[in-house]
Amino acid sequence: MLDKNADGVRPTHETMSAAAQLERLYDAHAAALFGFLLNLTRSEADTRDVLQEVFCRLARKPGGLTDVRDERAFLLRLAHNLAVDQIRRGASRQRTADSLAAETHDLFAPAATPDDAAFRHELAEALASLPPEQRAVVHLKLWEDLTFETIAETLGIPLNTAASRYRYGLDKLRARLRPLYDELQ
Amino acid sequence: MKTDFEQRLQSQPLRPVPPEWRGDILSAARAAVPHPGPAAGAPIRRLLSEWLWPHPVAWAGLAASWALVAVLNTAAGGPVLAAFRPTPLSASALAVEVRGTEPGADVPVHRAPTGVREPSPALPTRLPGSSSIERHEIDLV
Repeated sequence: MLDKNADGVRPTHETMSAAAQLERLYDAHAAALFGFLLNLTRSEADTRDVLQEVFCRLARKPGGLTDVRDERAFLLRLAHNLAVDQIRRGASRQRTADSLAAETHDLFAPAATPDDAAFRHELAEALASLPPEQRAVVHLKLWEDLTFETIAETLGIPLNTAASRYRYGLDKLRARLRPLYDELQ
Repeated sequence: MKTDFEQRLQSQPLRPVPPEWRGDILSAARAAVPHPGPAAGAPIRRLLSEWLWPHPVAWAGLAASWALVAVLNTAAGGPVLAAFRPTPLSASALAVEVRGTEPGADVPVHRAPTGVREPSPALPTRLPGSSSIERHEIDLV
């Protein structure tokens, strides 16, 4: 987490200008929000729209995160809610469907070896085949390393639901990736 | 505790944010903040506000004025304004006053001149002493 300075104290809106605070939030959390949104929406255009909306809301309410205990979890929750709204819109859904095949391989960083590239490509496609609610939980568990409790709070679902969605999602990924994973072992 | 499979998935790095997004998104966010621009006529409003804004001296003056009115009212032995209040007339007294006769006397029938339209009694704009009021009071008596 980059949201604390050298003294271990999180700068507040009182010690930083609003613009500097916004830049700090972007530098600390934009990468995580980008990955989560891209995995959730499967559309770079939608990801950009939602990410921009997140920071527009933060700019309109400077100091809104002052009393927030976990900035990352708060921003992920805000991004998730905005992404769900975006996905529900008809135009977005159509655009997502059109761009799904073209963008699945862009979820991960370019790989150095062909084996890694093949695995990442398969993994991206396997994630795309999951229902969005399972995909969100799997992403937060694996790439944000959140606890089920935090995931449940972030997504606004019961703890058991978060755990079961992760289990179902992981089983599907394992079933789909097993041949390739066994081959790479 | 994560399995090997989970650790393998977790080790796959996600694509970073396109660098050019940073400037665009932060600019858009700053532009989304409504700026309180200089309002036209602000100096005039401030001047009026300074003049008209309730001041302790103004409030004290207003309170003193009301205290003076209360003192004068008490010294006059009753409500000062009572002298100016009209005494309500009873219906019969009003009828007598209007007709100049005692109740029970013959009531002359008031007829409108031929060709002159009789005014409607429902019209609220009739002045006291008009024919419609007279007729109404006669009926009451």
